[in-house]
Amino acid sequence: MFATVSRSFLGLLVRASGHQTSRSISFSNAQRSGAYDSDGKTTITILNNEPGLGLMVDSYSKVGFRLNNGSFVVGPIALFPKTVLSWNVQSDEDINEQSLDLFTVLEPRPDVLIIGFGNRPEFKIQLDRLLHTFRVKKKLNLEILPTDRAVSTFNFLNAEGRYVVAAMIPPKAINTTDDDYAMSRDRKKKLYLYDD
Amino acid sequence: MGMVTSRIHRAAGRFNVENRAERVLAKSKPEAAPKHPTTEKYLQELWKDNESKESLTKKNQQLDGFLKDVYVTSHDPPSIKNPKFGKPSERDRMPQFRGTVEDTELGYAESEVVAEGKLTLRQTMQLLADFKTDSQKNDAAAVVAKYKIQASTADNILTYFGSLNVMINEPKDRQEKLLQKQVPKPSTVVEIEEGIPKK
Repeated sequence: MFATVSRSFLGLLVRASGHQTSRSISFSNAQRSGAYDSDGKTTITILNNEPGLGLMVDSYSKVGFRLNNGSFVVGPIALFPKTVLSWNVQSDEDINEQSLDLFTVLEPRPDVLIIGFGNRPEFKIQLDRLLHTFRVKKKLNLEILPTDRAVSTFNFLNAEGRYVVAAMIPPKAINTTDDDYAMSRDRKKKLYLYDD
Repeated sequence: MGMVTSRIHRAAGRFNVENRAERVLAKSKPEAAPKHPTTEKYLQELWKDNESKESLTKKNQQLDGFLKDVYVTSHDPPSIKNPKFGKPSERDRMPQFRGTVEDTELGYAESEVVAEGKLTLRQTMQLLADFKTDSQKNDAAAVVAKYKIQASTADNILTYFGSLNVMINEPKDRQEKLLQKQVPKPSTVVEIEEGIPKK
């Protein structure tokens, strides 16, 4: 179920960053209402900027994750609705039953555990095989996704108020767009400066 | 062809139907349908036998006495204390609290009772913080003793998880200094306040 959910999220998520936008477009139908309301109104709500929705990932890089509270976390993270812990794994090879042991003893049990394994698609098959018995034995709702999709899935599920836990490692390679570059320059207040 | 035949047949069946119905309804007592020959024969035999004829016509005093002794009382079913085992339609299963649910500190409803061998997130943060302050005193063995979890699990948690070190840049100006005051001071476990720091 969640796999399809995250896929539909991707339609909204175009950039490499984790910003989520939910659009609600309301327009007045002159024929139906009979009276002039106003021009078509479009409102955009960015979930990451909504107060009270918990911790979300704004963007990610090869080094770590930028969270929506303004902090940048270096290295792999274990993300909870309002808490973040560091996850001490070297690479995606270290994702195994031992490194995920904490999530099996948590009380209450997380609604969903999302694993962002970086961005080696060929590794997913291996990881699926490795964790299949684990997810059955421990009765965990496991969602194994590449980090970019894990980020958006986590953000949406957390915004919905679910007890979602994500263990994510930064991807080894990322595709950046001009928009990402501009945002990064803007954050450093160097948007209108020349590169050195 | 078959359709034509059936149409004629049906029309014939309906011929003068109202008249015939009136005639039947006009009778003061309806005529009983004739009995089947087998039933007719059986009934005749029954009436010939004197004993069975008597039992059919006379009141049985013994059975009548039994019936008079029967007394039925009724009472409401006891209310179900444990809603878990009640019917879904039971009132006890309806939500008792109808107010707005307050936002919790950790973003989810924490369990009041923790089963043995389980850990809450709060406990996990505490044990990781303790490990950071004094890794000798608060090692895996101490965690096992304190939280009653499996030794392997305690070892895995301390190996693979940790709290974050918080680093804050030197403030450039007064405004940034004020802003940084809102950020939690460097501690062993970063617990993130909800929302975004105000600008």
